[in-house]
Amino acid sequence: MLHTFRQLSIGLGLMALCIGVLLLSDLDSRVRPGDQGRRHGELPRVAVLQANAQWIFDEGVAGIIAGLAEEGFRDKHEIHLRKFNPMGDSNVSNSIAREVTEGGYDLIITTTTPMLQVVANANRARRVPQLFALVSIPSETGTGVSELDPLNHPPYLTGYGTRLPAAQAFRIAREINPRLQRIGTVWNPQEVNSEVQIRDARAVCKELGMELVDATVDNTGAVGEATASVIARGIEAFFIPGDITVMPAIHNVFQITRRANIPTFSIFPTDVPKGSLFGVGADYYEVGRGTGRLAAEVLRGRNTATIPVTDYMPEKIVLNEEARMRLANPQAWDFPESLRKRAYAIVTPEGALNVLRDDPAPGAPAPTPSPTPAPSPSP
Amino acid sequence: MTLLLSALTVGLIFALLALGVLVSFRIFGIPDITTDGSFTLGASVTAVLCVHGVNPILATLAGTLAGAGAGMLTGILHTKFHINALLSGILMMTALYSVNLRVMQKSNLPLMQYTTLGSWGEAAGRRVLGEEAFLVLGWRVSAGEVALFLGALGAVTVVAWLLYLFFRTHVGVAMRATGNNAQMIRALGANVQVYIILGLGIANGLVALGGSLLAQFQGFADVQMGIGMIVWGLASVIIGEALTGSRSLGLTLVGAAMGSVLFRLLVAIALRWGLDPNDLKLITAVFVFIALVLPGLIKKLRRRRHPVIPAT
Amino acid sequence: MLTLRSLHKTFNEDSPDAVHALRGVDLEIPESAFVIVLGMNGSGKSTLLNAIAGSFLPDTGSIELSGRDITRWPEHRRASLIGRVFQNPLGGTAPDMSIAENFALATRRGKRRGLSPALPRNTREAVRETIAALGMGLEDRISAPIGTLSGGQRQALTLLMATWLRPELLLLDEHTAALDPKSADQIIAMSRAVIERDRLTTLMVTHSMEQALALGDRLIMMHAGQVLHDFRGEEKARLTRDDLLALFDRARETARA
Repeated sequence: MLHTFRQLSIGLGLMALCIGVLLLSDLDSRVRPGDQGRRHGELPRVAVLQANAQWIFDEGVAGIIAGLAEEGFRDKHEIHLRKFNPMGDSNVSNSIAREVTEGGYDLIITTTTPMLQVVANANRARRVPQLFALVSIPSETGTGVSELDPLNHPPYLTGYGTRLPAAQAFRIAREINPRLQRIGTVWNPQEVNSEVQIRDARAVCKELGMELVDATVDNTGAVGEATASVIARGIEAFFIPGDITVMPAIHNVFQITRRANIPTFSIFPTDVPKGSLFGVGADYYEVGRGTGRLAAEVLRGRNTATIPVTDYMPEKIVLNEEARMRLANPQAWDFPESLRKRAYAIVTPEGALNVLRDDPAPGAPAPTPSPTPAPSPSP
Repeated sequence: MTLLLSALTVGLIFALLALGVLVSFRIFGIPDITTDGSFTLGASVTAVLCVHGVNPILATLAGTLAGAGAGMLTGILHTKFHINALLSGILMMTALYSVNLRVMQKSNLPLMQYTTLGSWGEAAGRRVLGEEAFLVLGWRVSAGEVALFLGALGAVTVVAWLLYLFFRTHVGVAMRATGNNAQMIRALGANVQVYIILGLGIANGLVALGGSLLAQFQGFADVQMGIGMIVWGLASVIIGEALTGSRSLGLTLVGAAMGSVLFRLLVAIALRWGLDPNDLKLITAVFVFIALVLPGLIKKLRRRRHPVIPAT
Repeated sequence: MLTLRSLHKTFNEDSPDAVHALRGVDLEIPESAFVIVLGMNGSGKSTLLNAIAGSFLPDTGSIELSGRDITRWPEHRRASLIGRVFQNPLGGTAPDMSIAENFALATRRGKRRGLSPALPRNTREAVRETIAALGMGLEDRISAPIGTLSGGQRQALTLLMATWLRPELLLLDEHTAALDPKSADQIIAMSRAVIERDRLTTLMVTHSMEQALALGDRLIMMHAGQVLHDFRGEEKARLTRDDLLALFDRARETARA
C-alpha cells in the first residue's frame, strides 16, 4: 500500500503544487469585509474573444478595438485589453471562459456563437457584463435572448446580431433587374444557417412577387447536378448561399451557370471577382466597430440591462462589370447609379478590382439603441 | 477559486477521455482516431435527447452506448475488412462528422435551458449545501460548482474502479494480452477479432461518456467539439505514465486520470499567467515531450550516480 | 488420433512467388505418440505444424483431431485441443503482464472466458507451486512482468502454460532453437517430463539431430512438402546420426535432379 502511494506521490505532489499556485494567484479575489471586488485605481480590464483565426473574425475583432479607441478607450492607456483565441478547441475555450468570468474583468466582448455560449454559461454565476457580436441569430443560441422582445435578455448580456444578408441580396437583384421573376438556388437543409437564408429569401420573393426555385443537396459532389437541374426548370438568376456544403463547389457552379448565361449572386463579396454578378455581405469590421462603440458606453456606466439586442448588418457590396459584360443580355442587368454609390468596390470590364471607398461603412453610424423600448426587429 | 474548481472538474471529465484512450492505445496498441468523432457523438446524442426532455441519466447512457457502437464499427472495419487500424479510425471519424450533424440537426445545440446532469448537479448542490454561494477559506464559491466537481469526481472514481475490476476478469486479462501478444492469446483460445471489437467499443464508450458530460457541463454541444481530443487523451496518458512509472493496471488507470487533471491545471496556470492561448498547442507539445523524455533521463541520472558493479 | 489426409497448401497463388508448401501430406498419429519432424529448410515442416494449429486454412485435404474434423476451424477454436510452444521464446508469453496473469490466461485455454476474476487465491497458489517446482526461484516473482525474465525462463513458462490444461495435441516448433545450450537442455528435459507424465500426443519439429535421435518414438522426414520417410518404434530406435545424414543427402540430390 505504501509502495503504491509512493508511486503516486509525484503526481499528487505536482497537482498540489499547481493548486497552490492557482489559489495564490487568486488571493485578491477573496472576499474581505467591505471589499467590492476590483482593485481601485487600476485600468478597467476588457476581454475580447474570438473562436479561431478566420479572416471574418479577425476583421470583427479589429473593428471592436478600433471602435473602442474611437470613443477614447485605447489599450494600455484608458483600458487594459486582452484578446483570447482558443483556435477551435473546446477544451481551451472552456478554460478561457472560466478565466475571463473569474479573473477580474470588467467587460467581456465575445464574437461568434460558440464563444457567446461558453462564456454565457460560465457567466451565469458571476454576471460580468458581456457584449456579443458576429452572431447570426442571438435568440437561437440558447442564452436566454428572446426572439420577440429585444429587451428580454439576461441583464448582463446583450449585443448585436448580424443576420446573413440573404434578403438584401434578393432585393438588390430585383433592384438591378426590375423584371426578375425566377431565381434559382441550391442548399443543404442540414445547415441551420442555410435554412435561415432560404427562409428570408422566400419571404422577400413573396413580397416582391418573385419565385424561388430551389434544390437540396447533402454533399458537395451533388451541387453541380442540382444546379443544372434548377437551371433546367427555367431561371433568370442564381443565388449562391453561404452554405458550407455548396461553397466548395463554387467554381463548378460558375461554370454551369456561365454556360447557361445565368448571372449569379451571393452573400460573400470577396467571391465576386471570381465570377458572380454581385455580392452583398456583412461588413464584419464595421459590426466590430459598432460593438466597440457600444462597449465604450458600457464602460462609461450604461447598464447592459437597458440595451436591447438588435440586428446590425452594415452592407458591403461588390459589383462585377466583367461578369455583366459576359452575359448575352448585359443591358437587362445594368447597375443603377444608386447602387453604384453604395458599392464598396466594382470589378471593371477589364477585370480589375476598383475599390471605391476607404472606409467600408455605408455612412450611417451603428444604431446606438435607445434606453426606451425597441426599434422593430430586422427583416 | 472558481477557475481552480472548474479546472479540476473539466480535468476529471477529460479523465474519462484519457481512460478511453488508455484502453485503445495502451491496452490494444491502437491509436484510435475515432475518438475525435465519438467524443462529439456522445455529446450530440445526449444533447438531442435532453432537448426532447429525456431523463438526463438515460440520455447520458444513450450517448455512451452510441460511442461504444462507433468504436465497435471501427473494430469491425479493422478486423473483418482488414483495414489498417489508423485508417479505420479516420474513416469512422469522418463519417461521424456527418452523423453528428444529422443527430443534432444543426452545428450547435444549446442546452442551458434544458434539464441535464449539469442542472441536476447544481440544483442538488443548492439543496444539500444550503445557500447559493458560500465561503471556503475566504473565497466565494457557488454550491453548484462544488456539486459538479464532486459529481465529476464520483463519476471518474466509479468508472476507474469498474475498469480495474473488469481488466482483472478472465475477459479483461485476455483483452490486455491481445494488445501485448496477439499470437499467444490466439493460441490460448481467445478470439482476437472479437476482443478488439469489444475493446474499441469500451474505449469509445468511455470517450463518448466524457463528451456527454462535457456538453452538459458547458451548456451546449457543438459539432466541432471533438476535434483534437485524441491529442489531449494521449497527452494525459503519457503524462500519467511518466508520473507513476509503472505498468501495473491500477496505477496506469489512476495515472491517466491524474495526467488529465494535472494537464488542465497547467493550462489554467498558463492562462492565468497571461500566456497567449494561440501558443497553447505548442505548450501542449512541449509538456508531452517532457513527459516522454523525463523518465528516461531520470533513469540515466540514477545509474550515473549509483553505477551497477557486477558481482565478482 | 490425429489424421491428415491429402493436405495441400500453396502460398501467394497468383503471383510468380507461388510456393506449393504442402503437396499432399497424409499422416496418422495415434494417441500418446511422440513424433519428431525433421527436414531441410523449406521442406514444409513448420508449415505442417502451422496447418495443424490453424494459422492458415489448407487448400484441399482434411485434418481430424480426436474424432473432430477441424479442417475449417479458426485458430483460436483449435486452441481448445492444441497446446503450442513457439520457436521464438518471447512468442508464448505477454511481456507486460505478470507471470501470474499469463498463467491465468493458460488456465482458460480454449474455454469460454467470462467476467469472473482471473486470479482468485487458489489459482495463484497453484501457479506458485507449479513454478516453484521448476527450481528457478521464480515463485517469489510471480507478480513481476514476465518481460523481465530471460528467454529460457520464458520458454519454460510457455511450456508449462501450454500443458496446464492437458492438450489433446502438443505442438513444439523448434522450441529450443533460439536458446543457449544450457537452457535448451533444461527445456528438453522439461518437455520430456511433461510429455511422459501426461502421456501427451506430441509433434516436435527440430533441427537438432541429437534431439531427433534421443526423443520420441517416431520420426518423420519432410521433403518438398511431403512426408518422405516415416520411421516407427524399433526402426526409429535403430537410427544413427549417419543414417540421418544419408537421408538428408539423398533428399538433396533428389531435389537437384
